[in-house]
Amino acid sequence: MVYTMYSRENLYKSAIKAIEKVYNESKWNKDVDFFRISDIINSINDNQLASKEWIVEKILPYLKKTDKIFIMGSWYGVLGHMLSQYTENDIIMYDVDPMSKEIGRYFCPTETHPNCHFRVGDAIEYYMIHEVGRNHNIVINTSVEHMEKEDIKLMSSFKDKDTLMVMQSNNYHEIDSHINTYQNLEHFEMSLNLRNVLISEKKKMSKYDRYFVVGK
Amino acid sequence: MNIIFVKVGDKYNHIHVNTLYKDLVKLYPNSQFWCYTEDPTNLNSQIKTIQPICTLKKWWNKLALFSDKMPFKGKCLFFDLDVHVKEKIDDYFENFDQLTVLNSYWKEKKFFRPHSYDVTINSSIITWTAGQQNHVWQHFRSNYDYFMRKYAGIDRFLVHEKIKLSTFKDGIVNSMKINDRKSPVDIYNGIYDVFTRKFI
Repeated sequence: MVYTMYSRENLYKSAIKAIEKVYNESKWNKDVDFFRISDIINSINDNQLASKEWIVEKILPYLKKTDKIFIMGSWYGVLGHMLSQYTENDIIMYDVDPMSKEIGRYFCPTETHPNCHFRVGDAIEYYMIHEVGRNHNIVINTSVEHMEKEDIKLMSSFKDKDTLMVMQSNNYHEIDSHINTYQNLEHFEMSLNLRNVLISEKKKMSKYDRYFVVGK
Repeated sequence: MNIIFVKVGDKYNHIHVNTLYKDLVKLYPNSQFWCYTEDPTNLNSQIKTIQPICTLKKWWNKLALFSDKMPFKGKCLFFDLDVHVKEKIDDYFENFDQLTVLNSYWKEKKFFRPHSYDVTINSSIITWTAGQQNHVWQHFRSNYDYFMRKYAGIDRFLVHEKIKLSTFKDGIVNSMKINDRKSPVDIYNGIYDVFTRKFI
C-alpha cells in the first residue's frame, strides 16, 4: 500500500476531479444532478474537515492492527480517505445515498485506498442484520444529527462491551435535515448510554458547537 | 372524505388547527378531520390525531401523509395551516386518483435557473386517495437526507423527482403574496399569520 500522509490538498484535488466528472457528463446526459457539485463542495468544507481531522487525531491512539472500522453515514468517504492514510485496517463505509460509492471512489480510489470499502443501503438495517457492533471493533458515526434518536440508542444496546463507539453530533438546530441535535455536550453524551466514556469534547464552529464522544 | 392537517414543531399551534377546523366543518360537516402532530394538546376533540411516524422538520412531514402507515382511507384533502377557506372547493376536484396540487400562478413571471430547482406548483392544498401515493413516501425515504439538502421544500422534491402530479383548475386560490383575485381560498405561503393577523 502506498502511504502518503493525509493532506487537505489531496482531498481538494479529489473533489475537483469528481466535480469535473459531473460537469462533463452533464454535457450529454440530461439526468446528471447538478446539485452534486454543491454537495461535494460541502462535504469538504472547513467544518467538515475539521470535524473529521479531530476524529483521526483522537482515535489513532486507540487503533489496534486487527481492528475493523465501520463508518455509518459515510457520505463521500472523506473520513475513510483520511483514516486510510494511517491504517491498513479494513474500513467499511455505509451510506444510503446511491451516489456515495461512485463519488466516494474519487476520494478513495481502489488503487491507493484498497482497504476502503463502500456499501450502499440503510446503515441501521445493516448494523442490525450484520451485527456490526459485534463484528467490528470501531463504529464511527459523524452524523448522529441526521439519524433518529431511537436508532442511535439501538446501536449502543447492540454492541460488544469492547466495541469502541466514536460519535459526533451538534447543536445546529436550524438545518432541515438535522433531525437529532442536542442542547449541549452532556446531553449528547448521556443519550449515547455508553458504559465507559473515554473522550467527551466540544469544538466551536462558526455557527454551532460540534460534540464528540468516544466510549465503550 | 378525510380532511387532513399537519402541525409539527412550533411554527403553528392548536389555535391555527382549530380555527381552520371551524371554517371547514361548516363546509364539510360529514368529513373526518385528522391532524398529524407530535403535540395534540388543546386540539378540538373532533379532530383525530396521528403521531408522527418518524422525525422530520417543517413541511417535510407532509410527505409522511402518503405513507401506507396512515390510518385514513379513501379520498384525502390536505390544507396547510396558513390558509383561509371561505367557500367549498368541490368544483375544483377532478380526480382523487391523481396527486393534485396547486398551480402557483403567482410565480409565473418569476425567473429561476434550472439549478435553483424552483417550481410553479404549490402544495398548500393537496388531494389524493389514501394508499395510492405510497411510492412518493418510499422514494423520499430512500435518500431523504440528500433530498432535504438538495430541495428547499417538498414542492421542488415532487417536481424534480418526477412524481406524477395534476394541478387544480385555476381560480381555487388567491395568493396573498399578490392578492389580485377573489377565490374560495386565500393562501398566505408563510408570509402572514392567519390567527394573529400579522405579517411574519
